[in-house]
Amino acid sequence: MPCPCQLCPSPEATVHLTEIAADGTRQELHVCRACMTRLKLRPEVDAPDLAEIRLRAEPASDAPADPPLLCDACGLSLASYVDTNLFGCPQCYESFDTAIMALLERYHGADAHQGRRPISEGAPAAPAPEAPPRRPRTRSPAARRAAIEARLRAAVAEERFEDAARLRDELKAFGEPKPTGEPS
Amino acid sequence: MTPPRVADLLARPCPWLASAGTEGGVVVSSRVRLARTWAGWSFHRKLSRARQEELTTRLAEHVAAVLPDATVYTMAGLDELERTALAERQVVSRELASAKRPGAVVVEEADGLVVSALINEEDHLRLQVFAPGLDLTRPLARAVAIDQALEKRVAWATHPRLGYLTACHTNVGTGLRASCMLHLPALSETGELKQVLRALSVLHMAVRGDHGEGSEAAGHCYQISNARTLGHDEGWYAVGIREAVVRVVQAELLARRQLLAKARARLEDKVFRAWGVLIGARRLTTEELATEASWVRLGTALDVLDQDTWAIPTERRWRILDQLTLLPQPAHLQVLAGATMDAPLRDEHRATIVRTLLAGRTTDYSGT
Repeated sequence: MPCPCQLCPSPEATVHLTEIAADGTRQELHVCRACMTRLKLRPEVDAPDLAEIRLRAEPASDAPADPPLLCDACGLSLASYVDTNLFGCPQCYESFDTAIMALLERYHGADAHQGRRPISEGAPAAPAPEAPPRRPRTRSPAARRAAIEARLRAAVAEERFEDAARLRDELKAFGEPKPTGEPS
Repeated sequence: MTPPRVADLLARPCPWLASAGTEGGVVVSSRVRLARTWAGWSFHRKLSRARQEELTTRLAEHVAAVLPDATVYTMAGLDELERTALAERQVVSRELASAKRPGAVVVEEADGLVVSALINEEDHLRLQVFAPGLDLTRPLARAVAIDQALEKRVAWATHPRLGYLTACHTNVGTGLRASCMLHLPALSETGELKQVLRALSVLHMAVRGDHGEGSEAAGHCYQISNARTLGHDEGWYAVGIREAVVRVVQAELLARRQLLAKARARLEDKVFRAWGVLIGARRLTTEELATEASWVRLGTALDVLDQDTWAIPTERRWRILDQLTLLPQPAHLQVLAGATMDAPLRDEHRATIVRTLLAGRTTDYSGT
């Protein structure tokens, strides 16, 4: 029996990706031919991890048509980061915090630094920051909500229910109703 | 002021290659790299050319101030061959060497270590320290000492939870990459290498060709490094790599003994054919040299190529073998000869260098 694509409403996924983590846990992602082409996925050549694929797929989801998530400081879009794996400036970490945290945790298996830190006392102030063209603050509540929703969908799809519950609480903090189309 | 000559650096022996064949010459060299970002500045992709030039100049001045005996090379002051030669010597990444943007590298050779500080690379600063053989302790201590000295002059971008911020999420946290370059011909030959590499990947270690990311394994040389950088301290990652490397060395040495025990004739045939090619060939491509030199290196480690063949002391043999991996590289041989050569001429020149080195007449072929 055909299974539906997990990235779009298509009823038939033709490619079935399996990721086996270091601890032996398996994750699966079923994708239709159209999404494979749209996301330029070539698993036989270069298989990005499944969380990254889900992030890439976000623009085509049925999420509300919010403006693209941009860094407040340098204007880099989240989509550009996902494409290149390169941030535009250190502030991008704050701007994309919610959206990239799952990626960071999955890659490093940790979410907090344990190593040495700079001896900041006595360090002179940073040079005058360059003045990029002032951009409108685009990280609107709607955009932040959309990012949390994306993480919530990923968490549910991957059966990470503790994460899903935490993200659902975060959504509630926005005072918004539960997103439609969410598995109950 | 006269800019420093790359040829002067290339003509000197390379300290991080001086492993002298310890433990069968399996671990060629070790490296520690710290990635740092200058707070208040964007990365190069979001920085104007003028601002990149300013960042490069100012950061190079700060690095040079804490490394007073170092040499500063600006990318703009080097021609393409010189940049490539620095990349062959691994003091510059291939990415920075081929980029058209402003950048610099500050190089210090002291106490058997090589420090190279890459400026305006993917991150604002990539501070690398190389050592010969298996030694991550001294490079890590040196890198941290330099970083601490720099912190008194430059404010690095950090995050309360994530630590040091970098241009790519794969380096965030410590910004540390500890790596060792290994020569693994026996594991390759017995087919056990794939299994070893798979085990390393489960341990979150990356295995690449000998010039880092995206490079192929030439002459059975592989670089093993930590893939993760967040969640543990710097020493933990360095110890993890060291422990993994020790196990790979044991596996390689075991595979060598098995080759000797079970396939000695085949092994000797490969080693002596390779020796014959290197001492006799009048033209050698880079790939051919890498392949044949790998067998000669293995034959020397196993004493298949013994005193009767080499006719020079053991320590000099390893000096020559190390030089074989560097001096005949395409850009090295052209910069040292002071001439541009097409591929056929390079192949001829390379064969001459190799014959000269193997004849034992010199270990520091200057190309003249």
